[in-house]
Amino acid sequence: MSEPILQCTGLCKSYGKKDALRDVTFSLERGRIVGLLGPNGSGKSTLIKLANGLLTPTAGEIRIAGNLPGPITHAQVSYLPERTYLSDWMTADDLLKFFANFYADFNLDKAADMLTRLGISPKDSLKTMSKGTKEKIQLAVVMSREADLYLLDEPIGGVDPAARDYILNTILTNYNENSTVVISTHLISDIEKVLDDVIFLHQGQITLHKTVDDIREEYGKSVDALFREVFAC
Amino acid sequence: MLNKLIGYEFKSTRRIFLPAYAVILLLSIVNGICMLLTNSMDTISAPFGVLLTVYILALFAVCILTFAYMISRFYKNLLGDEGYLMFTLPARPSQLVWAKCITSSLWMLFTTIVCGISLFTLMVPIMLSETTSADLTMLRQQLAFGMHTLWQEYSIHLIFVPLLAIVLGIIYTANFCMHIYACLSIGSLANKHRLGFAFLAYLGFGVLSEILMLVCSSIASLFPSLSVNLDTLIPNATAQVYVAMLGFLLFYGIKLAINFVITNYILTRHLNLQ
Repeated sequence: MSEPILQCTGLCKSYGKKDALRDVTFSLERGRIVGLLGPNGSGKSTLIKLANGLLTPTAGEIRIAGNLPGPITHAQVSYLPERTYLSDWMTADDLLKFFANFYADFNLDKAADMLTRLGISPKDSLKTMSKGTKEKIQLAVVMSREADLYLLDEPIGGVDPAARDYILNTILTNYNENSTVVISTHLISDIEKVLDDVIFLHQGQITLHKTVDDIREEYGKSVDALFREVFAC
Repeated sequence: MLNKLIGYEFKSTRRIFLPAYAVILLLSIVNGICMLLTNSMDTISAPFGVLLTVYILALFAVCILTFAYMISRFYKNLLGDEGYLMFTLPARPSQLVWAKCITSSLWMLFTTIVCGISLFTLMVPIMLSETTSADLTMLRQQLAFGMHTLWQEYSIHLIFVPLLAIVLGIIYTANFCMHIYACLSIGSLANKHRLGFAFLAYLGFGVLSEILMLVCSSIASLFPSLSVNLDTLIPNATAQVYVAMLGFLLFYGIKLAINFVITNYILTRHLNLQ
């Protein structure tokens, strides 16, 4: 059996006195699309940031293909944060060149093609673009990497249904089949059809980690229905 | 990787600095020509007065801009939203920090050079208008004689000392930038009011430095027999200059290393992008 692409062992993260993650232990295999599901404030973004080395664990450890987060894992992980991280002074072309320059696995032609299909000219300045367009560009460059692990934090949060379809289609048609895609969201119904596995995160702890097929068989309901039942207020 | 990061840093910042330098140089040329036309500093006309004021303000502005950009690039690009991209590049935090430090130090150096050139440009037309060719010949001869005398007196030291001064200037500037980065990194450990905490860290370092100086001078005063006179220890004046400059180089080099260790430790072990 190959090494897990993502492995957490006793992972804890606190912000002052508040626990964001408590003793999280799980592993993910390669070639899966995984939904990291939980209500707001359940620790999804914290877990993804820890995997990217943007936060340091309070206790425990997180490993990507056996390595602690660092320059080696950054070359293997393609990360879409929940916020826009683009520099306003850049043009679309500058951004593509930036990614091509820093990431060896970046497919420049694929990214340029995706931007063309979005109707974005290489000379367009990011400063003049709407938030939605910037999010689409960000997704395009992230999915144009041929990475081992894609960590997508709330890729469909705050966008209209048509844009959600575009985003999901972009993810499904662009990820490498040997790689794993982790999609963090609380909008389950929109992504349920594309998921292989789901992880439920509640108040910083994993309450469920199963395949979508097992959930349907075991509980006799969809992931969305189970989520609403588990996280009912 | 460091080369790529420095290249990206220059690309991000040159669009601000190059036009600013162009404006400064243009203003100095225009002011120089105006000086030449008025031909006397005693009769400054109102438009020329305004132009000269604009030039002086622009000189201050470009210096403030260089300082503000050094802080803003680090804070926004590493500790703000753009940090989500920068810290997920396949680069070590130390490389990100050095790229910022080297670029900011170089821009500070360029700003100093441009301000110097600009002041010189301002004076050239007026100097030329009041100088005859005989004056120029005499000036050239005096310069040559002066350089010849200095060379006989100091020989190769005439090259080494200015070179050492440039290196010292670069290390001093790099330490200045790295100190600000260390304060900003300490401030980033707080969950709120990060710039406020960074400012407190800056004040804290200042107080700590004063206390250390006070302790050192108190200890030195307790043991007067240990104090040494540089003139007695090193009678040669040139050697004294070298010892003093190397001493400052070591002092600022150590400070630079300490500030880098603090910054790198926080960004590597306690990165806190929320």
